[in-house]
Order: sequence, then structure tokens, then C-alpha cells
Amino acid sequence: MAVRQADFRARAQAALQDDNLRDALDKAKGGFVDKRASAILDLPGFETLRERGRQIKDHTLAHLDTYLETFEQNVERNGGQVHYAADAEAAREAVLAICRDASARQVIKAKTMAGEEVGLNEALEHEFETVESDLGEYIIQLAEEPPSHIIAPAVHKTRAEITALFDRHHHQREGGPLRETPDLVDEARGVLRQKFLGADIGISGANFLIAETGSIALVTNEGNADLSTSLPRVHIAIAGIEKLVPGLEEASSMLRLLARSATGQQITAYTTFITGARREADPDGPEEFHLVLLDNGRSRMLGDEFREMLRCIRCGACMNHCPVYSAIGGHAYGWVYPGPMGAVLTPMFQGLDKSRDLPNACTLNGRCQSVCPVKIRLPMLIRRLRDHEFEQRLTPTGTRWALQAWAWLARRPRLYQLATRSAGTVLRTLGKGRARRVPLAGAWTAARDLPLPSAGGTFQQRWRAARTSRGEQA
Amino acid sequence: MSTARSTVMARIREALGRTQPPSLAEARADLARRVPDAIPRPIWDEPQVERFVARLEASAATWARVNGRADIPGAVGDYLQDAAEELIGIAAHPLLTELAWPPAWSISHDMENAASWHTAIAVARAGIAETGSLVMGSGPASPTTLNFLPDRHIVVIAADEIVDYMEEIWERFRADGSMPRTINVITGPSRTADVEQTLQLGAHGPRSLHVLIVNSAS
Repeated sequence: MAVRQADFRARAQAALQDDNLRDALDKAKGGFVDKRASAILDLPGFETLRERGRQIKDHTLAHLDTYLETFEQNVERNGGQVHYAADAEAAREAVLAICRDASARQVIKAKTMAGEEVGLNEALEHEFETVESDLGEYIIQLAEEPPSHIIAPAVHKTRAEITALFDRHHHQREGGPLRETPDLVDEARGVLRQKFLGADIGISGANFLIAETGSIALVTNEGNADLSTSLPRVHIAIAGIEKLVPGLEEASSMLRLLARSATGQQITAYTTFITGARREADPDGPEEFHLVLLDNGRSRMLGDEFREMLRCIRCGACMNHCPVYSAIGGHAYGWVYPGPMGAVLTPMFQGLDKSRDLPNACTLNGRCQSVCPVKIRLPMLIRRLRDHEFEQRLTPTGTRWALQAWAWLARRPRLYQLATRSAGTVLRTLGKGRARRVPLAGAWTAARDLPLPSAGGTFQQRWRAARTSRGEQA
Repeated sequence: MSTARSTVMARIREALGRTQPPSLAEARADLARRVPDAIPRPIWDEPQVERFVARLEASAATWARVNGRADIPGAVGDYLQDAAEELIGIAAHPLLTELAWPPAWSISHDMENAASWHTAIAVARAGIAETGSLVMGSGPASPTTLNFLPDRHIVVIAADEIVDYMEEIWERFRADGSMPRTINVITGPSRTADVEQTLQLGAHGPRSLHVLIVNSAS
């Protein structure tokens, strides 16, 4: 999928004006945050588990070559085939070649973020009837939209919008009455069941790759991945090389982190371990199993200061706890990975020049880091990307000029204090409380009010006064 | 070896600053140094089977205890109520095929018909008390699609096959010498929250899950 970054600001503005989207985001945010908070109560050692998760991933990344070789041997030993893909195009070509070799006509897909990353659907749809089976992915496929959240792709869609989509695509009618959730879910179940049974190829992602056994681990609540990977004749899984873990025990620890962080569950309804192709005596299962291992910039990250981003297990906790994501939703980020995760991954995979607004769409409040199951220092990585923007002269001229002016002023304390005192005086002339319009700050006040300074002086003046009144030396 | 593979491997080795990978034994030794033996996991006070059924209920599954395997058809009949009206698929597992099923029931063991079954009955390899999960290993006696196609899923588990944590099932599969093609760890019926974050059971897999726990002594 191509990056649509150029108009980040316009999309963010539009999102802030979209009442449906705001309602949907408010509802989702509370749910995800509360469910995660109560799910970790059940595990008093959760913080120790986060540290274990970080260590397991760091260790695996430091031994990625060793584990990839072991993993590959074990997949092949169990009748599977491994295909390496250096970039997105190679991954698409590998999947297409397998589908053509199988003389496929219908493809059923379970959710795969790696597949989204390489634009798999667009490539498949030219040649094969391609259907998404995760209900959220199916809804946005009908709406011809990209996902807006990695765990709940259709989180921005209201029941009325889903009703209209189903009426149009399943019944060729418009303007029908609003339908209840069970009715909508049941209808999708019926339509998709036929797709599962008719598909020649099932495509899935992988939440973890287990080197010890050559297995992939897949988690869902719907069971769609299980039908997608067991009914068709050929199963293709696509996954980034960073999904590896050493063994089954490590996978168990990581699964405890993933379910709690993603959906606030102790475990998802279906946690599935797939090892190779159907065995000789098996009454069902695919005859062929292919695994496409995707690099697409990951090996470069392995060697630079962004390596820790490869620990990411794509749980979505960072975006669920992000005030910016909660205000603008996932589409504004313009590519596959939204929220804090996307603010780092999009520049990594698509180039900083194509995503220069993303590292700046962040308040550096740090909640993402505090909930990350593998302790990725997201705010630090985002700050590093801002540094790179400045060094590569990607920062807009106005901002560069303002930053340089501020730096000049900040190195001259007396002048700085005079300037902040004067600015306070000017702002106080605008009134009391909050200002809806501030000269030269129209972009900032378009979506929020500016709290005006009170009469008590600048921060430094008040700090000094407070210390003096406590009897400390100023 | 393909060029794509050597390209990716070369990039990885360059990033890690070496030409040869450490051995698997060296890697495992590094891991042992990094992570303590004690795994942070949920803990509980109640007896194992009580924890198991409490978590089953939390996952929206239902359950019943039966004394011995001979009582299984009766327990299935109690649960289904109109069993004679249904198409029932039964896994070709020796524990189930040798039972005396009521002759009035429409029973099939043939997976060719699986898409038309209303109810399927299978046997779990193990249960996990931590999460109330059932562990199904695929094979002739436990086809994987049988766990997903029917509306109602009934799973039989022997009480002494319940373990505390997921890690213990790995010991069993290692003892087998190889992994089955598919291991399904199932916790409750199929569900989705993709429509307005409202939880709805029966998305693509079974709408209900009923567990029959067979007492060990019999």
C-alpha cells in the first residue's frame, strides 16, 4: 500500500471535524484502556513479564541469523517451504507465484499486517477473487478503505455505516433500516462461510515464528484464521523476520503479554500453532504450506539505533493510550501502522522524507512507552527521528527558523527572561482563562483553546518566589 | 540457496557485525543468562479443576462433569435436548467411536460431511487451568476443521489431562517426538467485537462451546 503522507495535516483536520469518528474513537479508547488495566491485575508479575518480553526479543534479534536458519530447517522438515523476500515487491511476487502455480481462483485472507505493509491485496485482486475474513477487515474491504487500527481495523465504522455496506453488497439495496449487531455478524458469517469453503488459497500472517519447531503462532477471537489456514488446499503465511522467538516456552510468555496488551484478555479465544503442511494420515489441512519471510527494511533497522523497534509485537497498546491517535484516528497517519508505532515504523519503511509530519504528531507524554509490552522507548525514537529531520533539512523552513531563533534566545538567559515576561504581558491583554484565537497561532488554536497566563508572572519568576517562601536559597 | 535468502542473510550478518552465526547452543546459553527461571504467570489458590472451570465460565463456555466414559452419550443428549433432530459429527477418536450412541441420532465420522454438521464432538489432548483452555492436536482422531465448522462444539476432556500452565503441554508434544500440523488452544466460543466494539459470540467458529470433564477414576 502506497503511503499517503503528503496531506497528513489535512487528514488530521478532517478527522477532528468528523463527529462519527470521534464517537467511535471515544468508545473504543475507553474499552481498550480499561480492559488492559483489568487484565493485568490478574498477573501481579506483569512488570517482570514485560522485562522478560524485552529480553526475549533483544536476545532473538541479536541471534537472528542463528534462529532464522534453525526455523527454516524445521519448517522444511515438516513439509513446508520458506521464501525470503528482500522487499515489498519481492513478497508480492512470491505470493503471486505460489497462487499461480496452484492454479488458484479464490483466495481467503486472515488479517496480516505484513500483507498490508507490502500491498498484498491490491496485487492479488487483479488476478484472484480475494476476500478478507476477519470481520473488521471484511467491512473495510467492502468500504474500500485501509484499516484504521491494527487490532480493530473497522473501529471507525458505525453500525449505520456497516448496515449500509452490507445492504449494498449483500442485497443490492439502499436505505434499509438500521440493523442490530447480532444480525450483522450472522449475515457476514453466512456470506464468508461460503468463501472459506470455496477458496483454493488461504493467506495468514503470523504473530510469532518459533525457531525450535518451525511453527507459526496465530491468535484470533473469531476463528477466521483457523478456517483460512485449514480448509484451502494451500496455506501461505507472510511474516516479518523480527517475529521469531527461540522456542515454545518463550512463545507462551510472549502470548501472555500480547493478549493482555492488545485486547485485555488472558488469552484469545483461538491461539493456534501451525507446523508445516498436512501429515500423511491427516483427514484435513492444506497439502502445501509456504512461509514468506519479509525483510523490507528490517535488517537495516537491526544495524542502527532503531533496532529496538523490531521488538514490536503489534499489539496496538501504544495507539490505544495515545492522545493524538485518540483525537485523529488511524487513517490520518496515512499508512498501514498508525499511532506511536506508525510514527516510527512509517519513516523506517517508507522514508522520513515521505512521512516527516508523523514524528511531530506526538506530545512526548510517554504513555505509549509505559504500556508497551516489550518496553520500546517510543518517545526517544520519535525524538531521534525529529533530530534526523533537522539534520536532513526536512523540517519546514518556518519551523527551522523558529527553532534556531529559540536556541539563540535560550542561550542568553537575561534576554530570554525579558522576552518571556513581555510575551506574558501581551497574552494577558487577550483576556482571562482561555483564548480561542491568538495572532500568529491560528493552526494551533483551530482545534483547541490556548490557556492564557495568569497574573502571577513567568514560570521562572514563580519558581523563585516559591523557593523563597519555603526558605530555600533562590 | 536462493539469491533472496543470501541477500537477506548477508544484510542481517552485516547488521550484527559477523560472518558466521553463533551455534544454537551458544544462543540458548545467552538466553538462559538473560531470563530468570521463574516465569511470571497467574497464580491461584483453588484446586486445579476449580480454576479450570472458573476460567471456562469466564470464557462463556459451559461444562458438566461425568463419572465415566459410558456416561458421555447421556451427557451429550442432556446438553443438546433435540439430538435426534441434528446432524452430529464425531471425531474418529477411540474414546468416542467405541461408545454406544443412541441409534436415533444422525451421526457421522466422515469429514467430507463436516460443513453440514450442526454439532461436533471431539476429545481434547489437554486442558490448561491458567486460562480454561482446551488443547487440540490435529490428526486422524482430531481433525482441526471439526473444531471450527459446526455451530456447537462439544469437547470431552479427562480430568487428569488438565495441567496448570501452557508450558506443560510443550513437554507432552516434545515427548511425542514431533508437533502435529495444528495445535488449537481453544478458550470459549468464537467471538468478535468488530461492530462498534460490542462483543458478539459465533463470529466464524462455533457459537457455543460445551466441555464434558470425565472423572479420572473411571
